[in-house]
Amino acid sequence: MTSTELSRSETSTGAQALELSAPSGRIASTTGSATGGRGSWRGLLVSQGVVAATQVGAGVVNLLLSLVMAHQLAPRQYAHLAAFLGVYLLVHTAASSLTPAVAMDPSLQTRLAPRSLQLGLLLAVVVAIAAPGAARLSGLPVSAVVLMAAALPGAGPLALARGRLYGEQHVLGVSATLASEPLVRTAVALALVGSLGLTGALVGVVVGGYLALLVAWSVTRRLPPRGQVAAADRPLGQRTAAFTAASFLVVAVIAAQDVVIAGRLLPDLDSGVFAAISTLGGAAFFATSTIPLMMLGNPAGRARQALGSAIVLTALGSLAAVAVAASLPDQAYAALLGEPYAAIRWAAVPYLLAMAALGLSRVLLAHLCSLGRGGQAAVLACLAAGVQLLLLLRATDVTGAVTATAAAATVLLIGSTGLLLRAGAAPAYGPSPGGHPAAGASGEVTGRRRVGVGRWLQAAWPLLLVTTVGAGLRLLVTRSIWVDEAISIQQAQQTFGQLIHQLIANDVHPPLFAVVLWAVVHLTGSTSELVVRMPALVVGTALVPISYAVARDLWGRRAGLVSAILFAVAPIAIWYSQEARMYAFWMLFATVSAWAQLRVLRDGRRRHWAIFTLASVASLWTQWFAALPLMVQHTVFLTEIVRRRRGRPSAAAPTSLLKPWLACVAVSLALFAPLMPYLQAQVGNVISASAAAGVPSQAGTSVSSTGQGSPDIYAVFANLIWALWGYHSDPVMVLLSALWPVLLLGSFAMLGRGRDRETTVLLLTAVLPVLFLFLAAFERRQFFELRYFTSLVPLLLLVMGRTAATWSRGQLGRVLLPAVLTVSLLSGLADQQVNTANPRVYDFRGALTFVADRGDSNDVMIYAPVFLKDEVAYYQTATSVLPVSGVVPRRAPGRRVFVLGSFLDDKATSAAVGTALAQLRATGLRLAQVHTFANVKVWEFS
Amino acid sequence: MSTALELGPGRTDEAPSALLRDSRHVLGHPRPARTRLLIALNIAATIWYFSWLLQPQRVGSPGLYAVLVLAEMANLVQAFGFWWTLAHDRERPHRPAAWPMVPVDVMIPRYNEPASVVEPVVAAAVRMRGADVRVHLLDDGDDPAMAEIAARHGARHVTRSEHAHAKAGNVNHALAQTDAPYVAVFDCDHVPHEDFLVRTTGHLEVARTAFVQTPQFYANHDRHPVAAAAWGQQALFFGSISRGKDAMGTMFCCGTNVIFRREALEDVGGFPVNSLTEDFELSLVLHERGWRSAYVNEVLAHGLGPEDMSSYVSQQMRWARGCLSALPRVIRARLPLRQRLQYLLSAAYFLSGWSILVYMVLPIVRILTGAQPVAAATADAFLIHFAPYFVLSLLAVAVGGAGTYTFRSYSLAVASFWVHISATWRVLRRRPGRFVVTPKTGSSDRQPWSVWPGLTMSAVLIGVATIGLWKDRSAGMLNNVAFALVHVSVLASGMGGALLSGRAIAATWVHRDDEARWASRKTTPPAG
Repeated sequence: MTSTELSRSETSTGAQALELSAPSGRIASTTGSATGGRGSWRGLLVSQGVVAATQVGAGVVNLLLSLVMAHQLAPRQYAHLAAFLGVYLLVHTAASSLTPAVAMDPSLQTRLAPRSLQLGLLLAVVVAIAAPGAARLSGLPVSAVVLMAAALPGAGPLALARGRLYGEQHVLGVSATLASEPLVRTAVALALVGSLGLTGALVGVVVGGYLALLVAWSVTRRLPPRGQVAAADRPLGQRTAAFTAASFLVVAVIAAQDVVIAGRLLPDLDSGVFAAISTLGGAAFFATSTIPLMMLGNPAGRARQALGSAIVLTALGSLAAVAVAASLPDQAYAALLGEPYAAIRWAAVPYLLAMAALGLSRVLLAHLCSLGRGGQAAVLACLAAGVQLLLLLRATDVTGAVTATAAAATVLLIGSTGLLLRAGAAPAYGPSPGGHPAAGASGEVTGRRRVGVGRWLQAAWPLLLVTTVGAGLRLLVTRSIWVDEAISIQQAQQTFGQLIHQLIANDVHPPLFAVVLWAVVHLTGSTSELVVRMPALVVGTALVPISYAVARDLWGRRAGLVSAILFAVAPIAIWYSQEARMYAFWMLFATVSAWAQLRVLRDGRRRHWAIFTLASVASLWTQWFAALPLMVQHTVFLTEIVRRRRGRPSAAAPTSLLKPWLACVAVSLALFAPLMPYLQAQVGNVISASAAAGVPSQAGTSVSSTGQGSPDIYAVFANLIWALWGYHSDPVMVLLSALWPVLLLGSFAMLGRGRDRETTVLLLTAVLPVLFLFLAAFERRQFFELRYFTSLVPLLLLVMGRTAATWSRGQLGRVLLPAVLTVSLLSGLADQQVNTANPRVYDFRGALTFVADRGDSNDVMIYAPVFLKDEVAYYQTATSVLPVSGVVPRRAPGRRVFVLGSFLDDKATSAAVGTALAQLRATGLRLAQVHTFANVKVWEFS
Repeated sequence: MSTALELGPGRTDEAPSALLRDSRHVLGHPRPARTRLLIALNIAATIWYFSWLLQPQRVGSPGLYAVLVLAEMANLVQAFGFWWTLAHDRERPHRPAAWPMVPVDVMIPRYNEPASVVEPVVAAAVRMRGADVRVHLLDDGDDPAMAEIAARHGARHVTRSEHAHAKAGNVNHALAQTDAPYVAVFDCDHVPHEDFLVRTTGHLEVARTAFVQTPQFYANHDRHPVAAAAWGQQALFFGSISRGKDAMGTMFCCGTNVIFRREALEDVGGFPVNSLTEDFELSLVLHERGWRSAYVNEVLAHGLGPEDMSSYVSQQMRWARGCLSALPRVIRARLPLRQRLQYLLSAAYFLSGWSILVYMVLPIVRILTGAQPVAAATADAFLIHFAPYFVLSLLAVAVGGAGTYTFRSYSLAVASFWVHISATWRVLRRRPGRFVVTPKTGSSDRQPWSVWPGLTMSAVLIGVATIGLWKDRSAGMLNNVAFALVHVSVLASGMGGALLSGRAIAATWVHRDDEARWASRKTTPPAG
């Protein structure tokens, strides 16, 4: 053995063959640095320091630009710029979760660049087409949305190119691309803002991004090419890759979610203070963000030194920030952040300490990922994020919010240190500059890991983006708490015993969702809109990657991606992700059970039987109407059992389904048994509820039905349009329904296509319950309503996703069809979310906030109909509150009386409100004004 | 001698099972229970729809109403005919090949097709088993290259001094020079399977059977959108329709991939020479004289479908003119009612372009003038009566077409609506037709001129829709604009094959330079 080999085997074992095949120069340099002393340390510190300094400089320039723009632009325009930068940053944060993976395997850049560019272009086209709607939705000018679209294609390639530069340890290249962005941004913005105003500033932002990309690209183009890697080597590292990206993304979420949630939950002043300290903390965190990336680019031989230098630099940088924060006088804070934030040192210092811990944890997690323990890193990060979220939701002041983030950072820091100690010190990461990754100095294990990164990211990168977009759309425009939600929230605030009693006595739904909501409310101690809607939001967002997984498993990656995009933007999926009710849960369970059934039919594995059983029973625990698709699914199983029994037995024949099906039925029944008392009691409730008008649990039926009497074809169309394109105002629905001839085209287009079992089963499961309810509606009109067959939505979306992805043979059609579908869904979404003529939007929040703002404890509010009790209780006002049927308040000096009326298309309610108004006039009160909100009216008497 | 043993009747059941399986894959197979249920539902839905449509209070604008009802009736007649045929969908049981081996004259008429198209046919024909095969290449182009091909493969090169009456005249001329009791005819692009005779001669043993027809399979259906769409139409005909016709004893001869009893041909004086669709008229005469026909539902020859729009249009024009001009002959024919109706249905299919024209014109009239054929009907009431009829009719086509009849096939038929109209016009004016051989190799250029009527109609529909939207944006207007745009979409899909560049088609469609048809002994039938 040569001396080179000997020295190498000290640092890493089991990779001899690869090393010998590598050029000797590279090995020599690797081992040289492994055994090297002070020189290499200095080199590492210098390169890390240069890049970090550039990053800090970039931040400073950005800050300066922001300050200048605050003076140059009108307040409204400045707010637009800030909003634009917020979204821009979000996109780049999501995209840059790729950077660490590319830093570990620079060859990824070449492999992923075209795909990321294509995806960016596609998104850009979609955003550009949807610009008018998106502009209305976000309040930004159309030009800003168009410029955002123009910026989108650059995000992915920039993250990849920078990753490559980090991976190649190209200090100059990294610094150039980091520095060029803010400099160009500032120059262009300053040049254009005078003549173009806001648009000029935005153009500067976009051009800056592209110039940074150009710089990064031009450097990477001069680097020696990175080769492709043998396919057989790929699978091992897939998970590590996934987890690396996920870990970095979750750490970014930890750094950002506190300010978002605190802004919503804390009182005004506290949220302002927290925003101020999080700006400082964010800046410190931003300043150290290049360090782990530079570290990952180091060759394996230098792993320890790289880790050491990264820790040292991060600690120094973060502690310097803490020291500055601790020593700044109050006047400096006031000058920097504004007068109200002069005395925030007490909060800024602990928060910066927490950010320092988070920054260090990021380095340790990166190292953990490079050891192939990305899974542990991701789980730890999620755990920390969960801890932070729980504590944040309970926080009532700044201390609480800071504690939440500090706790998360502590969990991360302790956890990652512990995991690293457990993992031992085997260094792993980093390619040798210019080499083939599989033959890199880091040896076989590393080579295999890095290969997997690429394959996984090829699939995950678009999905991450789509999921982020889906989550963003679900958070973007929210409605007031709806009557049914208010009831659920009221129930969730009881003790558990009371909850169960109330469910049995008054409700008409099985208990799963109510129990989840109860747990969330009691765990967080909050009933804010965000908190009570969090379960639906999480489940609804999770449907995006789950739909991807399902469609991909059944029909391939393309169908998966198209399905995920459709789920991300589908109006109804978004609507019910924003409602503190059970429908998002039902969609999830329906999707999973449908998938599991198809897998059972395909290969009959026990695992899939188990998933099917659990998901289908869970759907029953969520909604009684889930029994309908379930019956279809079991009929499909029975048919298949009979079909297989009739078929000629042969060696290749699929296994019998009878026994596992019987087991599935038995387990399902056992799991369903505890629901029997609910079922018995609630059947009685349903009967009495439909007998008596105005019972809370039935509220909203009138707005959701399409007419009285028997159901008709129009009702079918209306429900179909709702299911796919969302809820709309009546005039829009009439116009959309007039487009029914398109269905003829759809039917013709199905010719020669419907021979696929999976699609058939999915469609049967989706459509037969609708047919059943259509027939049932001749008896009870209100049954024919999308809420009772919500399972239709995900199943239809899956079929549509599959169809759109695979329909066309041509390249153009393959892009055009999903794009057209997505744009049509986005248009539906825009109208659903912002059109105030939507009959399902009830602005109780607006109306009751209005009353709360104007009324005091001397005043009285009368509301109608009576079932608004929980709604009124949710949006508390200082006034006394009376239902309309109560006694009319006496006139008192200075007392104002508000009458809040909704559901006024109901004759009884309308009459009751009319009577109350007349009585108030009779007492001598004068009608001061009438305020109209979406489907809610407020009369103010004084 | 070994060949003879190998081809004995005892062996014939083994090899063809694969053929049959593949044929079922592309042509489907009878599903009696499903079909009967579907037909019953269709009849119920038809009564439901027409009993609503034909009420006096539905009459809107009387003229338009009359035209709509006429179009709907014409459609209904075709639909009834289809269901009737579908109800008889059976698979003819296999019969062992004639034994001892009989002499068979194999005729391959050729006009101007290139050697690359013809040679595989001759090569495959001489290799056919199960009979004493004598191959004749009937060369109406008097091409020395053909003589060379014939010589190379041991076939006879037949030419004639006077090239009268196209293919019919060519075959009749050869019939006079040959004497085998059975005569097989293959168009010179149809490569026969080596078991063609093994699978067909047995049926000729049944007394008074004049001919055995087999499917016309387009082996190039995966190479061009037009070929694919045309094959879809063929598959519907050669699947359930031909099986049903066969079960009713009304299958007609399609001119290629067919084997005749010479006695029958001589009985009617050979192929009729004054028709564009000599095969159709020949069958009519044979049936009139009491001969029987048979259809074997197995792909036993690989041919080439039209590979560009102008080829398709010229083929359809020839069939439409031939069949429409045969209509008076069919009406006069001395045939049992069942056979006569079947012939009528087949010939009258080529009038369906008129119904399509009516459907396209109605929204135009409504948008421009506001006149509607149907009155006193809400969209709701219309749909509840029309939707079941529409969906079930379509389902019947889907089931009958066994998945091979696609939207592309349908839209190609719609986009060729004008061919039927033009053919009707020419037949009414008694313009003499010329037998145009369908080109066997496609052009790779765009051929917008071959679909100009469809393009014009699309432009009119788009223009009128724009005017409509400009005039008002009420639900009623939007509905008619949607109708117009649906027609445009179907037309556009149907005309796609003519409007796409060769490069775009090549990028999308499986494009191989090798031979699509069975070119060698070893090639197995492709899975459709």
